[in-house]
Amino acid sequence: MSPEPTFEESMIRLEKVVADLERGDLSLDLAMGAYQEGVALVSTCRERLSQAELVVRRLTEDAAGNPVVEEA
Amino acid sequence: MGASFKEALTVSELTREIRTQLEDNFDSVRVEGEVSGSKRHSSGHFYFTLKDAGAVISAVMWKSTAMRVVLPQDGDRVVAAGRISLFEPRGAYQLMVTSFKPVGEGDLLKRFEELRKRLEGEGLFDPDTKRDFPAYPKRIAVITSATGAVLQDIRNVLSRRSPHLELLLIPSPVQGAEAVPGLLQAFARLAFLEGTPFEPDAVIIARGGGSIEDLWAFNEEPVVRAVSGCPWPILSAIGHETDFTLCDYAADLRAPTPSAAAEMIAPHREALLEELDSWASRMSEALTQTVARRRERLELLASRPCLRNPQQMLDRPTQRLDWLLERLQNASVRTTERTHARLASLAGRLDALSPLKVLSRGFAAVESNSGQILSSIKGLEKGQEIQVRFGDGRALARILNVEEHAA
Repeated sequence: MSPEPTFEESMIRLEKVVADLERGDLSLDLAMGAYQEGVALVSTCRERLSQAELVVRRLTEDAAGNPVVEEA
Repeated sequence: MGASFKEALTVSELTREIRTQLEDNFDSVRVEGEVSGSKRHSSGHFYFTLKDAGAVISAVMWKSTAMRVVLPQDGDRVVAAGRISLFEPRGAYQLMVTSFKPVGEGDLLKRFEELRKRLEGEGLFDPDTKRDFPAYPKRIAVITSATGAVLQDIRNVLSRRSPHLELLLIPSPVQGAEAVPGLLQAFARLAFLEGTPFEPDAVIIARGGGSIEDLWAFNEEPVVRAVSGCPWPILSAIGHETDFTLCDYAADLRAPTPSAAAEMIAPHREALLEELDSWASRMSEALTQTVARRRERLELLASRPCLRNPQQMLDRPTQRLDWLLERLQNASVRTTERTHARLASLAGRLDALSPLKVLSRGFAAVESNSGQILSSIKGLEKGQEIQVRFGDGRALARILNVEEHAA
């Protein structure tokens, strides 16, 4: 199972989908597929931008010396 | 001496007496010497000896002071300020140091310059190795003090511009003797994030302004190497705009201040939303156009004669076939005729050249007895026998006279 794409990966993928569509040399099937993918990407990216407040976490370590991420 | 053994002091009493004398007389001294045998004990105290050509004195700087200053290294010449005391359990006096000052101006600058040159020679600051920062980061790791104004500055900038981000603080002391081990530990923790869901997109290492001593941890070789080996693009924002540390050289990018660092890395959320809107409408536009182009093409195809009137597809080739057949027949007839004519012409020319044909027209050939054609009077003699050849036979003859044409 591949991990969920990062925001960066999604944005870069979306940039490419737009460029592919604008080049206009995709077959109709591929163009429809690309458009659907693009719309989904726009909505995930928007969702990720919708977070209203900066999340702050802190990387420290537990008693055993293992790194832990905690909410600040 | 002899009589007063009764009044002997105990070792402790004598030692205390000496200690009092020492502490009273040397309660504030400055001494210049070379540092040697320096050791930072696990307790945090810093032990060393100061020496010159003729003497040695042991010295200690307590943890509370040692963690706030740049400690000298063996071989450094310093002026140490402090007081003399005596450690009673070992009967040893020592200098309790409260501050150092390097002798000769610019010891630190010299160390800075030496290390800079050496690391530069290793390629640690090579511009070719600088990485680009991601255009759309989501999580930014920040190595800085958990309590300083720097963290607050960065938080403020990010909250205002890019509240969609995540700030992952990796706290570390950024000053004094705790700074180097603390920063190295921060980098060790940071490396642990690789492959976890908390992997950052970029790293900021930051500290507020201060003296060269305050910023010194960021010039220590292990820290500079840790910055250079950071698994993610790292931006350095240490001190004020005019301060340069070796970490600035080793990082992928340098920011003049911590707030500027945050601004350089974090894209504005409003700008991102606008970008997304524009992409969405460009996609719709592109798809609409693609569909429109296909429709045009379909209509163009549908209107082609072959689809409107399929019989035409057969008519044309049939006509062409007829035409070709006709040409083929004509061509073969012409070829035969031409061949015949050429053959007759060649036969005629061949016939004309035949020697027999020439002889049949009234010429004769003269040959010697040995059958050689004679084409000149040269070599002919009176009385010589020759043969005369006609078209229908030969005759033997004798030369009666030889007469050469006048030239």
